[in-house]
Amino acid sequence: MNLPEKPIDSSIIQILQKSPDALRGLLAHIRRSTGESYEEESINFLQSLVTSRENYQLERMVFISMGKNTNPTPEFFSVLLHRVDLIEILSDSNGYEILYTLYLSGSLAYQDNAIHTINDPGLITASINHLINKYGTSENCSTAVIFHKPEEEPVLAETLTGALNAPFYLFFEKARYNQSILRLENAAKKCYVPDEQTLIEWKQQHVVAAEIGHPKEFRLLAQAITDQAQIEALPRETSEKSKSSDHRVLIVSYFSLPTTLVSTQRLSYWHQSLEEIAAEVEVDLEVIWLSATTNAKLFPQNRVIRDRGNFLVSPQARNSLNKATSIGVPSLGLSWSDYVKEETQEWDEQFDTVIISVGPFGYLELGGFFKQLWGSHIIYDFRDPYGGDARMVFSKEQREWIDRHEEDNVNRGDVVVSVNEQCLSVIAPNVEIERVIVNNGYNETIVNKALHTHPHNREGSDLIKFVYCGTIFRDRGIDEFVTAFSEGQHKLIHFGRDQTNSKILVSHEATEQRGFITDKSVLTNEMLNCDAGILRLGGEGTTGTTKIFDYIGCDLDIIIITDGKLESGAVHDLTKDLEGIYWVRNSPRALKQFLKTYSPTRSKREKRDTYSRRHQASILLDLILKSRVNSGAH
Amino acid sequence: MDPKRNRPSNFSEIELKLLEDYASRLNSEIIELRKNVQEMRIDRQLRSFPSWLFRRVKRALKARLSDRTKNRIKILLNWLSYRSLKQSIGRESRINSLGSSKHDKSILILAHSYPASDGNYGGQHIERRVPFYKAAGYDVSIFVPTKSTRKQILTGNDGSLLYLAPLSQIEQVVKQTNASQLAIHSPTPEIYETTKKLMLDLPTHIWIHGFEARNWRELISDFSAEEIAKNGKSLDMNNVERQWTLSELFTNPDINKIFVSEYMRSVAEEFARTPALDSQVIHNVIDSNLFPYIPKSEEMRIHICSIRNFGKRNYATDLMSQTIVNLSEMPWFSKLSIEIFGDGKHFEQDTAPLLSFENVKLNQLFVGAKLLKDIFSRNGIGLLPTRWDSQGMLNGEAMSSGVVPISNAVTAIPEFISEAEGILADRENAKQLAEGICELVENPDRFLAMSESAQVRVRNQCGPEMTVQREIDLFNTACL
Repeated sequence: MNLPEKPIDSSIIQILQKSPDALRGLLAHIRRSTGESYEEESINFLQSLVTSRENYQLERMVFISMGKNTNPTPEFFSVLLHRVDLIEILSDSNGYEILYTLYLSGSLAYQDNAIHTINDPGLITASINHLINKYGTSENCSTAVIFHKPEEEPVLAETLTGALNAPFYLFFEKARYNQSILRLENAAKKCYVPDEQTLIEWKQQHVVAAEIGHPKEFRLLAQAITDQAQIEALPRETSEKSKSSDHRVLIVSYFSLPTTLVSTQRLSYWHQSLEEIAAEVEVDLEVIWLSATTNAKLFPQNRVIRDRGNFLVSPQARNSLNKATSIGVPSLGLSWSDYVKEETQEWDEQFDTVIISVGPFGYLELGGFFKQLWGSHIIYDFRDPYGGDARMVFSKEQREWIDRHEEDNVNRGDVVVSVNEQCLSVIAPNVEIERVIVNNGYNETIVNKALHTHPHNREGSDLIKFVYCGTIFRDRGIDEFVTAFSEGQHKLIHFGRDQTNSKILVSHEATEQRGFITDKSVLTNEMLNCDAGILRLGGEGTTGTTKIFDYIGCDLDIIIITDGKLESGAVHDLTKDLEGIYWVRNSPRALKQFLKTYSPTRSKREKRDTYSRRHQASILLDLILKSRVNSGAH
Repeated sequence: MDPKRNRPSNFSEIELKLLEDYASRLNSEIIELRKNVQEMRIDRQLRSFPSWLFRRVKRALKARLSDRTKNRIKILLNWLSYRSLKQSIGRESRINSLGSSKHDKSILILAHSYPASDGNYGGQHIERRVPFYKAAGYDVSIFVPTKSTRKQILTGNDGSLLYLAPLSQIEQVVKQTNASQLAIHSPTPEIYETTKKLMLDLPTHIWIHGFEARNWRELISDFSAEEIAKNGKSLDMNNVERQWTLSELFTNPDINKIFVSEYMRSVAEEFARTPALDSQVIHNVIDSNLFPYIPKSEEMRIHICSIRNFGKRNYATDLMSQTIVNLSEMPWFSKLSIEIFGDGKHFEQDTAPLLSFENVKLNQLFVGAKLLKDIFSRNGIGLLPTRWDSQGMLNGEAMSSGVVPISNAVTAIPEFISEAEGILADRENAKQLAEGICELVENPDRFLAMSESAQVRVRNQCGPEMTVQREIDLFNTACL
């Protein structure tokens, strides 16, 4: 192998720290060998980093590139850090070639390579690990991993980062999405994409926010790592109570904040409010949230256990994981379950109640595990059905596996909670277990604040204002509804995306499109100025939607326009006892007839408060505290 | 076995984990591939076609027939099966007498013990099968591994040749007996290591009965504190080795896996942490020729017997004794006649509280099939408590003779006895065992009905047609 020109000598580091000219010289050298050029600002930044080198906490960087590395970032960091490992993974039709380069204190210290004809992520990882270890590593050395183009071999990327078991930063070139990438981004410290267009594509599918960046931008990378180190060095606020609370609750879910998934909102509310609600009944509750989301560590009362992929699980988990993978059932969370078991056994704390919130469903068996480990009361929170999910099509073998997985694990729990009766009834239907509805509810903090701080003018106007919040789905347009409006009497405001090809919302005089509003309090204020919220159903019974709660919170009438049977399904179950609910068939005649006679109620519903998140969370709290009574805890 | 053996020392823990994972995945892929190849084999498909057709027709008929007609057909089939077995036994003995041998239908049974002319009583559940195998035309020899280096050839009570020799000599015995199939009862790691190669050449069937597929801690009461302190660690290591062995056997598609009950299957699968591929549940046979049903009279309900091994706590001889002490408080106790048979290290301790009762007869001896038949014929109730049973054959043999079993609703017992055929007390509950006997003593009609139901149930569930015949079918399929 031809060694590249030696980029820097350790003896000049001292000079570099003192002399800006020497630094410029180094950059010139890097530029020569790579063809890249740097701005004056970058030179100054590098200089400031080099001169403050003693404050820099990181000791080692592992830079992994799918394909040949063409940027000088590893060499640059070798000036700053004690050790930089560069791994280049080249693939062709014959297999893989791994090139390994080690820099120690700015000097090229060692180079090696390995060739693999078997494309197995586990074997390749073992080989890379072996190359790295040849020169000796210290387990306690503070390390960061930079991975360039992980989307090219995501399974290898997650196995490799799992084996290195250090914080990692991912630099994608494309916004590809699959299960391994999902696990990777959830476990990453930060994700970067190269440009605006890729960022737009990224946002459509991924659950973790990405930023624009490239590994050649060493300034960005150094800044990210420094920021991260500073955040982690901050003293934790006095958030974690002593472990002697009256009752300790552990919420377990694969994803946590700050991922952008809607499902985390439900858990986030519980995490934040259960302690406060419990305090009102004089119970000292402590709620901890355990997830696989690395950045959740930045928030108080969170624990993180990383999902290190399928190849590093214990022998006990291997068989079931292989079986699940071979028959092709959804396996997200199965490997994580094994890492959680391994790590929680070492914890010197325990929890009285554990809430296992699914899906993904791979970690269902943690219920039985925690019951055995700590004797905890187990509550399974099914945000969606699993085996009974009518939207999923499974083969006979997959169906058997899933049903057994669901039934066996639910059997080991104490309570199942879900968002509606329809969901509850299809979860492990053969298991006798307490089943309770705990809905999402509207966020009373936002709604009440909006109600009290802004004047809302609904009374006395002849114009009836309708609001539609959320996406208008392709198969559930509202053209007929808008067409039935009478001039000067009706108006529709839409917040969200429109998936239909219809232009009616743009062209009709009585409609207004406000787009996607991320700030919930702004949206709430807008809704409070309206008279009725629109819900558009296709006719399927299991559909439930959280926007109903927002409408109820804002005291809006609810107009349910359906293609199916009136007054049926999950929505009817939820609203049947409320005033101001109107079901209308989606036909021009029925809609016209309805609008002719409709007059807004404009009053607060008696049962409004029972639809708040707080009320729903208090149902959950009752379940938690009931277990406390049953177990004799005090 | 030392898992660290042969590992190059310069691999890190992570690397070893990844390499082990790769080996394990490779192994699973090979097993899957072999399974696929087996499934693709046309000859096997053709051979299995008749039994597939038979099963389909049977299922279709079952759906249409009334329960009463089904019952009649069952009785008729049982009768026909007995007749044909009887005839074939006659034919076989004639053929054998002419000096003909059928080496292509020769089975070597590997068992941990077997009743023999040297007075050994273990392995009776295996002995019960042999006449049926022979009747179906199989030459049967039995291999019992011993620690002694000397090979001994004995004759079993049923006339079979019994080889007592170290495990290492099994290949030699296979050659000597011209065995064409291997039938292994309770495979242990040592047996598996020695027979691995043979399994590649000979069709192999394994039976999972109990100790080989459960955690020793499940029956921790069988061990004293000293024994646990001294041997606990090595028993734990044995557990792990057994788990490895079973998981390899369970995932091997070429081996027929037979469990004596559904309960045993679930325990074994959980123990091995692996589902047993294409396994079967075939109960141990209860031979109604050996234990014939003679209708009981009302008076028989006061004749109670208990046949137990006093060597192990899972046979609950302490509960048996406590039950009799509880019964002694009943006004009619002196009218009962109670016979107790068995031997073992707890005999004296457990029978001490019974010495003062004149109507309790203690017999410190192991019981063979013939004596057992006599005991059941003169008693109406069998007091057979338990803490762990993978089937409870003694219950079955009692039921076959019309003896109503009194036992505990633990492990596999409820799979074989419902409240219509016997009385099942809760775990460790001697009071309920005594109450069960009271119930039968005080209600003669109930006793008679249960006696009748018991013999019907055991014939339907554990008769030769449902048990050994299915094993013979497996042998026949493997012969083709």
